[in-house]
Amino acid sequence: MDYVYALVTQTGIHVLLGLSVYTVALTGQVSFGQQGFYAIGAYVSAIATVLWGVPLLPALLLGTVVSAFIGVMVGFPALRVKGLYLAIATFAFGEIVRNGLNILYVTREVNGIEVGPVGPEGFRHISYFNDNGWTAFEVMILVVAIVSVVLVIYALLERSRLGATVRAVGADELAAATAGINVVWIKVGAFAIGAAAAGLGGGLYAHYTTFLSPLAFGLSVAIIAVAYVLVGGLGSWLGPVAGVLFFLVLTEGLRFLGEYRMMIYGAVVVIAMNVRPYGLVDAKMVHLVKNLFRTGARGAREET
Amino acid sequence: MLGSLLDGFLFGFSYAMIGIGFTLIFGVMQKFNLAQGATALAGAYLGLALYRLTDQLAPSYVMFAVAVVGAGAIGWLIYQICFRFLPKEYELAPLMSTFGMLILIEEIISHLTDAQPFEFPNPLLYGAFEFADGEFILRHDYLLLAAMALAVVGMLYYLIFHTRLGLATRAVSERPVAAQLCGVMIDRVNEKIFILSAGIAGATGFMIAMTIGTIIPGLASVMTIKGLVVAVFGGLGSVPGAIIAGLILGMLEAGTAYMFNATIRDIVAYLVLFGVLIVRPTGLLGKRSLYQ
Amino acid sequence: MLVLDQVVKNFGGIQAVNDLSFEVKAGQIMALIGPNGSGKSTTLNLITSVYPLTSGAIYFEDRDITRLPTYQVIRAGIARTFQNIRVFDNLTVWDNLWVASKRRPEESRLKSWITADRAARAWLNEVLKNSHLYDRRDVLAGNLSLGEARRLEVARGMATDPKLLMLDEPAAGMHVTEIAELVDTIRTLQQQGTTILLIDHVLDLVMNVAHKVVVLNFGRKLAEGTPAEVQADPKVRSAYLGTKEEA
Repeated sequence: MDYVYALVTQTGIHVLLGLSVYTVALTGQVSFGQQGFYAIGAYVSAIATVLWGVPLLPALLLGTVVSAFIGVMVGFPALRVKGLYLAIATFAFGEIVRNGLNILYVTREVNGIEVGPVGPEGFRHISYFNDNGWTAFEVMILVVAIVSVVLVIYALLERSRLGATVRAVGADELAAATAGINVVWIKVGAFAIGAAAAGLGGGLYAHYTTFLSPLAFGLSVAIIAVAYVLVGGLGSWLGPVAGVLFFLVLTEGLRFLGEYRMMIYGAVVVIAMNVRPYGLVDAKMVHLVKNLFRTGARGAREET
Repeated sequence: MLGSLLDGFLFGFSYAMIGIGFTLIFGVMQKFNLAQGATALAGAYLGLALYRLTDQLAPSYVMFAVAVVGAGAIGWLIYQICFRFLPKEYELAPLMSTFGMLILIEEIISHLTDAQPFEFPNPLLYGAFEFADGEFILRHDYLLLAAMALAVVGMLYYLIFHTRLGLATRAVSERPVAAQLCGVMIDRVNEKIFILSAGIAGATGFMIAMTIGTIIPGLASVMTIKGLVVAVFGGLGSVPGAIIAGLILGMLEAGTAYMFNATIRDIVAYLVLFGVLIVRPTGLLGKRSLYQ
Repeated sequence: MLVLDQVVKNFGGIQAVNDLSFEVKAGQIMALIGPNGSGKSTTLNLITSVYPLTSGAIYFEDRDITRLPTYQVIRAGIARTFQNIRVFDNLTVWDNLWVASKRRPEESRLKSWITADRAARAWLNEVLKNSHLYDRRDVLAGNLSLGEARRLEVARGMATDPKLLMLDEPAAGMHVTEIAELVDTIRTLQQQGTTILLIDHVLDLVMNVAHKVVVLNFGRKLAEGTPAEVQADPKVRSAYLGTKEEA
């Protein structure tokens, strides 16, 4: 049963990673740097609980906020470029973060042991859950709760004017500007929210795995995060969720292949791009499904 | 320090070569082949495979040929899988697809070799020109690297400006639709440039492995990153730009590694990349025509 | 209301707009005409800050808008449509308008980002009905017919509650009946208080509807006046029709 708990917990965390890429992708840009915010959130919240004794939720919040803040700082310059250029610029950012973590040495003695990030050797003893007697089940519930709240927020925002505005910017920046939309703020805002989502995911990840290493925040995470969205589609918040579930099923189903897993990831991405370049849940599909639900309700709509 | 810079300068030729690979493809297709570094590595491994299969008897230049041809074949494969059948305007799908190939190739190599590093034979291992009583050293293999790079550039120059394929390439890189209307088969041109670029990658991978002396799968990612930095820094689509950028990066890296350490060196490289993209996305020699 | 003062725009070596000055008075319907390449669309782009000016200035209601970013020009009260229709294909007709609509001062800023209150919805419904798009309000803009998309383009402009509406070749490819409808639409908008700046080739439309016409040629103002005056002007005739050859 513990195995299932672990699976669900990991899935939840990865959904946040997917949402992070998704948010930025809605404005028409792809970021290959969300793993940088993932790392920032992880390290900041871990430092908070381990070195400063901050309780979990405020620590997670801190990680999220710091990520968002850095997201704004990086977003402003980065979003001046688009397309492939932005993809590379964001990746460069991710790598700067990762390399920066390699030279991060911040330790303190707490309860007799030396704790804190030790450069390339990583950050051990992130034992908040253990210290406070959380079971695997309780951790899973926490993650599921947090992720659910986030998803609800996304679902609400998608039907809001903000959601439509973000997608308008994604569709046509010039037309959006001509509609009176402040395109720069929307893009930076989306970038910051994406960063926050990744930061939150990172914080949960840090406490779940109890050990962080800069190696964990490199190329693979960049790809997998984008893959979730690319394969899952941009139609709605369901897209990244579908993407995560798709890869989950794939990974678990192919568990017997063990170490060949990354190879399969690579191959699957290649195939998916050929078969369905716009993802599983694309805009047309969302609209289709929405209409199915609406045809019944249409008759009951009043005019205002 | 000066010695370091000089070494960096020469090694920079290898970065320039990978950068040329990226920039060539971007010039004609406006897309990136993220598997470029993996192709380079694969070529080198193929050369190594020949070496080991023949009980270490195969001469280096034959290994080299195998590396180039092998890489070229892999390039052809990548073109078919990742570019040929995807919608032209959608830049992201080939990007992810080649990323997938990068992972795939790196993993395959890892599995075939159990991720163990291998020694790569270097016939010029201990040869060097010494100056000032050993103060200055010009390694022979570095010089060969530079010479080969210059040869490749010369060959490219000839190809681009004095052959029909080159003419077609220039046409496609400036005005793809008009080129098609003039009877140029874009797919064929793209394919050939791809194979060419892959061959160059194979040669580069071979030379890099040779000068480093060991070969590990991780080199693929490293080469990919450096190549990308160089291509963007030099200006996407500009071959001369890639060369200059490669040399500058080589020196920059050598300098920072000398003064600080390897991690700072990498951070500097990425900061340069980020900075260039933001401030001057068109790079040093920007893209108006591929071959200014 | 809108004043262009010695506006110049160079693209590298090409002078797209050369020392252009004119004024659009409030409540007017003004037309900007000229052969292809005479700088008409560029002028619109300069007004909405899509391109920066090389020199000169643009004033709207006595306010210098030369360097304002596009979205602020729009919020100041200028709207424009695009010649090659740029509606948001991935949004419904309703959303297309909603996104463009201005927040009314009494509505809370935060709330206006989430939902549309009663007044806002009434406003949008009215715009929808005026454009005959009310029945299609839930349709994805990408699925509209060409005529509907054009109407949406104009409706979206009107949704920003503009004082000045600039139409970029609205009659392109239309046949006679459609042009007549367009004339009606433009007249109605003007009567309801919107000033109109119109760019087009289709002289049937322009001469019927405009109060004042500015003729451009190679980026320079060639002539200015009422439709009748401009039609009679020999310079205009030779620009459009060529000069008579001495036999």
